[in-house]
Amino acid sequence: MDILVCISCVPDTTSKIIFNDNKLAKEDIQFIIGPYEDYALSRAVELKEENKSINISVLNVGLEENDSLLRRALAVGADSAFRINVNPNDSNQVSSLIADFVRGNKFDLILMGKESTDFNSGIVHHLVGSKVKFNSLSPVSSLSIVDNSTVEVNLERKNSIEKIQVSTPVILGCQEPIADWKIPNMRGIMKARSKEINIIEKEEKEIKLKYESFTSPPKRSGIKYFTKDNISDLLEELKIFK
Amino acid sequence: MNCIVIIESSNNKIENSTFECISLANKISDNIIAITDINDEKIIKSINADTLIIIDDIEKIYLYDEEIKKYEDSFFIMSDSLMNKKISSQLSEIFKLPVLSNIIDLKILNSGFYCKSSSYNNNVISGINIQSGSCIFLIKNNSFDIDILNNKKPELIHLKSKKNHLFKMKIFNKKEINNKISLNDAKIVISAGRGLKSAGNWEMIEKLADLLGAATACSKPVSDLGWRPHSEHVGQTGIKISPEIYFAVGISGAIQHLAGVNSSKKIIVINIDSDAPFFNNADYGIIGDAFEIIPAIIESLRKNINDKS
Ligand SMILES: Cc1cc2nc3c(=O)[nH]c(=O)nc-3n(C[C@H](O)[C@H](O)[C@H](O)COP(=O)(O)OP(=O)(O)OC[C@H]3O[C@@H](n4cnc5c(N)ncnc54)[C@H](O)[C@@H]3O)c2cc1C
Ligand SMILES: Nc1ncnc2c1ncn2[C@@H]1O[C@H](COP(=O)(O)O)[C@@H](O)[C@H]1O
Repeated sequence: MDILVCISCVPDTTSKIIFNDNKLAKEDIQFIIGPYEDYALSRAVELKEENKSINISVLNVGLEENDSLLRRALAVGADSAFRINVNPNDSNQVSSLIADFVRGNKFDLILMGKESTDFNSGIVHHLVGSKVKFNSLSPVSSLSIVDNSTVEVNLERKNSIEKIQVSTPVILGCQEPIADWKIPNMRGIMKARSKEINIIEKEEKEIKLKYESFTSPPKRSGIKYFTKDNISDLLEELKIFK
Repeated sequence: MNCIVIIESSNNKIENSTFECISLANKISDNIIAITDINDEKIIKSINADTLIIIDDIEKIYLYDEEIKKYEDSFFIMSDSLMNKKISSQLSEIFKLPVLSNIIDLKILNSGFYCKSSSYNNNVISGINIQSGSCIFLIKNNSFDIDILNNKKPELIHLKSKKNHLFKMKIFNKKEINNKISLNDAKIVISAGRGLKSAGNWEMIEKLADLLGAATACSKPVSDLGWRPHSEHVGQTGIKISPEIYFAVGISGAIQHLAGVNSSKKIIVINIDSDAPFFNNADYGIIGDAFEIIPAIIESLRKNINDKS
């Protein structure tokens, strides 16, 4: 079974996000593999531990600065790494590029995160699915392989969790508790060093969506304290009393 | 330009977030086409639209591509929900349009659109210009006012698809999430953290939620410990919500937790530790023991209800 894991490289949540001249100030930011994709990758590696014939590829749409995170993915247990050398502008552009890549290769299972923590769109998996005519399910909180052409997942829906068997190829948006995050070990790190990261060059298409400004949301105006004895004033202020 | 709105419902009730979309649509477009799979005319009468298209299964809108393609000169508005993320990507392929999520502001320009989208876990607001062509907008909950205006008499169109579903899927078992109120659509959310010390202590949280018509939520360690289901966990790795009112009880306010809740309109923090970081990101605070404060709030609400009757 061939698994593709699509990873975004995003600022660590504890980083302070600052934009200067509409560009993210990257200098002081620690970049990480998106937390949901880290779950997806970890589950793929767990599945490979049970079944050695599984082959795992990781893919990122992004610039050279992301190679260290792709190498980390190799160290965690991926077999090969690909990077489409285009600056990711938005989820639509990213999904077109991923769709092109998927069309040119054979994958049974494409794992992504439930959402990236930069765009927060939660939509790349469905957009790719619509483009390449694969089924897409998100968010899934468990994944196991039934046979060569079937997987079983827990799909979270608005008011329920469904246990579903679905035929491959399928795209899944993963979230916890699908797996525990894996930390690369020394052997993995050594092995990853000798592996190549495959760079795919693509023309940047004309951009229809123009991101004009990046600003901080309004700050809260300050806190007002209440005590056990004037709780009714708080409820009054919140207009909770009917 | 036509505005197409997708109607989302839960147990045959149209969601608040959908009414937000309808209200917004009526402000910026004068021809509203709503698409729904509710087949009960009494319910869909409350939708203020010019045309109502009724299909069998809204989540498989791609089956109706030929029929809806004739509304090509349109833009799309729908709430940013799990269901609509899927629907919008099907529409995106049919109409070759981009999708933008987390929209908190939207304007039509002489040519194109201008919108604002929340990103980086609510730490950044992007201003986006769509200079040419149309777009599919996914609206973040509680970002627009709801008008109860209902002055249109929609024309009803029933569509039947001649196509078959594309994908093979077998549902084995369906576990209802016993939240009486869905976390995503709730106006008020009562959330509690490790400060509550054990699963049994959620009884008072549920009681309070019941009285307020609120949904319940929790921090990540609480669901990791199995005190509450994972579906309730909010934050960077959980659900992201933006209710009118968010109560954080016994939650320290770690940045990963805030990532999921910091776009709530009003945040009320109840914590025994006056130095808890959550107080720096709140509108109201009560420094005190949750086991005293929560019963006191319940008591105050009950008293108010009794006084009224
Ligand atoms: C990559 C990553 C992702 C994460 N994602 C998430 C996420 O999505 N969501 C999330 O919530 N966390 C997440 N976390 C964990 C997060 O960092 C915090 O550890 C977590 O939010 C703390 O949960 P808590 O506030 O319930 O517990 P604690 O930090 O233990 O805080 C308990 C609080 O309760 C207070 N308290 C104690 N007793 C009482 C009492 N009697 N009355 C009132 N208050 C009391 C204490 O003063 C304290 O402030 C993530 C962490 C990492 C590293
Ligand atoms: N630049 C990228 N490169 C590879 N995969 C990505 C990229 N951006 C997003 N993805 C994948 O798409 C998922 C959903 O992203 P989004 O729609 O942006 O929230 C993420 O969890 C990733 O798995």
